[in-house]
Amino acid sequence: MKKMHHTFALSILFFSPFAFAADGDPATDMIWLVTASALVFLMQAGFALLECGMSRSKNALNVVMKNYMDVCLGTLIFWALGYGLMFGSNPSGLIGTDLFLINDSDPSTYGVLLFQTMFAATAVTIASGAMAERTRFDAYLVGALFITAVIYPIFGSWVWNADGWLAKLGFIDFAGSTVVHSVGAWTALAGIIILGPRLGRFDKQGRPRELRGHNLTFVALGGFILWFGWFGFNGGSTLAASTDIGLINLNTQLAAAAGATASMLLAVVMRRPILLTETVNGSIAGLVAITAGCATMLPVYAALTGAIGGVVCTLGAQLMLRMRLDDVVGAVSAHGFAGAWGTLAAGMFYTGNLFDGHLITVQLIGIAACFIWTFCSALIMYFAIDIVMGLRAPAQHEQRGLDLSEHAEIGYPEFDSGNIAYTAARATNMDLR
Amino acid sequence: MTKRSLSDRRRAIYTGLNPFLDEAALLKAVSHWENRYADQPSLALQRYVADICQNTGLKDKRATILRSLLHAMGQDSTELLADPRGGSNTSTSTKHVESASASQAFAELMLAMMSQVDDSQQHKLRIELFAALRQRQLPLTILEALQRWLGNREPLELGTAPPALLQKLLNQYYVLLCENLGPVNADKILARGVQHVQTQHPKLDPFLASLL
Repeated sequence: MKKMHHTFALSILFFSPFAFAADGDPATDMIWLVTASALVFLMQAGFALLECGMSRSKNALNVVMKNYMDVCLGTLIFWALGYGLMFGSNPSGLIGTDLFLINDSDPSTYGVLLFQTMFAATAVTIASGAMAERTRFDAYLVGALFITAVIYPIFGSWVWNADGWLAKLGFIDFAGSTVVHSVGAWTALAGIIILGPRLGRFDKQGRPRELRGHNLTFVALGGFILWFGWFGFNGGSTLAASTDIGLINLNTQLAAAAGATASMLLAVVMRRPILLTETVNGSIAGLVAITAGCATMLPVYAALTGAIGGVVCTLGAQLMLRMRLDDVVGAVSAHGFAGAWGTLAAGMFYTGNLFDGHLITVQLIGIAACFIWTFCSALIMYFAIDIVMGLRAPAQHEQRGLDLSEHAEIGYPEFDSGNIAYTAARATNMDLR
Repeated sequence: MTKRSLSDRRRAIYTGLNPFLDEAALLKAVSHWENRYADQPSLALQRYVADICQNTGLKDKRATILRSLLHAMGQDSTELLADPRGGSNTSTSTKHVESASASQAFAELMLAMMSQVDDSQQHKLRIELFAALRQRQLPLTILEALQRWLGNREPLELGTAPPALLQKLLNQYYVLLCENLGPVNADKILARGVQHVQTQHPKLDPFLASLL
């Protein structure tokens, strides 16, 4: 059994073309892998801050709680089930069949499991921001469990399992523009379709109403923390302390900066105000876009990929609003549209094989496969959750705010702005069962 | 089941719980049902039973209590005990006063909220609220009182309407505010309305909690 795990871990390392570019000491490799895992874990804090800041104050805690608990439940279910489905023996090319509940194994498997758990948690937490302010807490967590246990690992097994059908086609997604970010975004898209918009988000003519987040400093801090964590996300995907990390993280930095800059310039060109939320999302879109090809393209293309990612994100968010889809944090455009673009860019700008038709076709197949599998399965899942237990919080809960109705807590009990009826003193006397 | 009157369903709850609780606990449990479960389907009785057994020594009798309630719900009206709200004992009178005050608080809060909206918008909201109320299966007396009020013909007098129902009516108005003026304005209007009732009618303040 141990031998099989070892072979498996090696196959994962091999799958990344740059993984063994340097023959590092296994202990050093492990230190880097575990450090990168911690960096990716920190991204949860980034998501929590960003999503919380973009929500209204009466829903601030609820968003953070969703982020907090989906990583906890996701960790357990990914260890028990998801990892095996994703990385277990995969004779069909469609699904892993062993490595469930890993207990007695070799060091490299433990390290890879830890790192991959953080990836799974990242994928699942993307939906929480898009579906914020009107989703029932328990229903959201049931969805998050299913995504981490089934939807994410099955698609992951097609790409990151050495025997996966997309892997065999030569699909490139180094650190998960599609596997992690698009999966998260397409589940979020399904969720917001089933949920519908927040009360009054669109007027009767379908024009969007501005619902400003309550703390834009949180949004900026969340953006910085996500950016910082991304060095572990992309750099750690070598799964070894390799010299290639320099290029990978340089590309990461360039793409993020280009994404934000392009987003800002687009606002200038379109004669619109330069919004902080849009600019931060531009940098995140740049990061998402470069994730697939950060190890396989030169810096100039990384900057271009990031810049186009930023533009795609801004325009995608506008498209979503035109379609009356209420994505609170812009997750679908930043992670979905930019992720799809970045995956395509990884095929277009592949070093030494630029604009190869076959490679681009394979990338398009992977992008389409991800959308079809993830969106359809998530749509069915959220529909079932809605029927069985109710996905959308009642209007009374939206009126109170989900902090109070779902958790019997208030985010800012000492600050009464006068804009919300539910003060801490009032909440003390309310029957919140 | 849902076609039975509120009074009959309350009697069924009272009858079903009677063998398990003393009078004080029984009335408290009936109040909890009125506030939280009166408008819910029978399936919700399971949660209701879980609620009332939470802090009592009845945990191991949950299944028996649920069966007893379901049995009572299926019984003919003539077999049920008298409506606990129909008598003239002290607790019933107290409840009557409480409901009346909750209704008063509701009326003042609604007026305070409506006064923040301009006339044409107010007229539109009244019509939409009127239409929304017709969709709901409200007790006839309450529906008529609301309709008379919305038509500006008479002051709002809801008598002993249960607070849970008033809470739903308030929420219905909040939803209309969100749709017509946006959720940010709706929150502000609600907050100012509550502040107005607090300052102008401090005696009604304790009843606001049951409406919000």
